[in-house]
Parts: sequence; C-alpha cells; structure tokens
Amino acid sequence: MRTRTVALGLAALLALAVATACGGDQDGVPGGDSTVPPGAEGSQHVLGSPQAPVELIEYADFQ
Amino acid sequence: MFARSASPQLIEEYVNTGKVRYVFKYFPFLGDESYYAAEAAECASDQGKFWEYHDLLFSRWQGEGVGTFLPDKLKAYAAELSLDTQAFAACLDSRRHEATALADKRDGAQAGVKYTPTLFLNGQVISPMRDYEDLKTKIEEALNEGG
Repeated sequence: MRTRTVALGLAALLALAVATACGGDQDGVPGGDSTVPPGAEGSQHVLGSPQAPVELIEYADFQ
Repeated sequence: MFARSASPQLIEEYVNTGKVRYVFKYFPFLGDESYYAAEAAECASDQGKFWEYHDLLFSRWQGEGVGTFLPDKLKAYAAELSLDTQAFAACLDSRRHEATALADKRDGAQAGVKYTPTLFLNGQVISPMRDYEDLKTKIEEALNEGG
C-alpha cells in the first residue's frame, strides 16, 4: 500500500515536471502560449514592396 | 536593441529602395509591460499610427520592468502623437489586442524565437547581429544570391 502511494506521488511529480517544461512562458505573466485563443491571428505590420527580393522579419519586445 | 538603432537606416537604404520587405512582429517575453506595449501599439495601429507609436516606444525605452510601459504611460504617449486618447484608452483597457500579441509570440516560438530581437532573413535566423553593418552584409549576400 505504501509502495503504491509513493509510486503515485512520484507519478504526480513527474507529471508536474513535464507540464512545467512544456508550459510555454517562462516569464509568469498572464497570456502564456496556452491561452492563445483558437484562431487568433498575428499582427500585420509590413514595410516595403511584396516584390522585394529579400524579406526581413523582426521579432521584438519593446522592453 | 536592433529596432532602435538600425531600423531607420534599414528603411532608408533597403526598404524604400524596393530591395527588402520588412515585417515587424511582437515577441513579448519580459513581463506585463511587454504585453501592454504590444497591445498599445495595436491600439495605435487602429488609428493608423502604428509605426509612429512603434518608434516612440523604442525611443522611450529605459530598461526592463521600470514602469516605462505601464498603461498610464502608454496612454500619455498616445496623446503625444495626437491620437484619439479616449478611443486609445478604451482600446488598451479592454485588452482587445492581447490575442494578437499572443499569436505573434506563439508564431515566433514555433519558429524558434527565444530572445529579442530575433531576425529572419528569407526564413533563416540571422541574429544575433552585432550592428547594422553586420545586418547589411547579410542582406547584401541575400541580394546577391537572389540576383
């Protein structure tokens, strides 16, 4: 009985560890990746011609 | 920070000459103020002033989590640009653009973004860049490959 309890406890800890590792945001703010509404679309801020031979995408944080 | 220092040169030299198409995406990962700033930029975009607001935010950068991008400050910046402040405040307070910032972050994370700024040149990560000259070299290489 005790062995089973320990095993269940370890399984719970393992599940928690996996969930933490896969949970997306590390910054602890509201709006982790798991809360992106289904179908949400990103921003559309583009400068320049669609025919330009080179596309440069910048991911930035204003902070 | 790349966007503060190099973008004007990049725009003048490559975007305005038709050589480069520049796409800006949010990757808010430094806390609440990162999200507020991104959402505020979207609110400015609603009023047709995204790039002006974008430039203003980068010009006001003082550090991480120092209060520069709290909602009251972001509303004051909107007033500086003569935006409709009531509409802007309503937009920001509603958090209506949170999903857009989240979606950008999701897309960036899926593409492998882990820090900012991260730059993709024709789909390939080229950051971290030392300076504008470094970026310029990469762009010229890409232009030569394409031409």
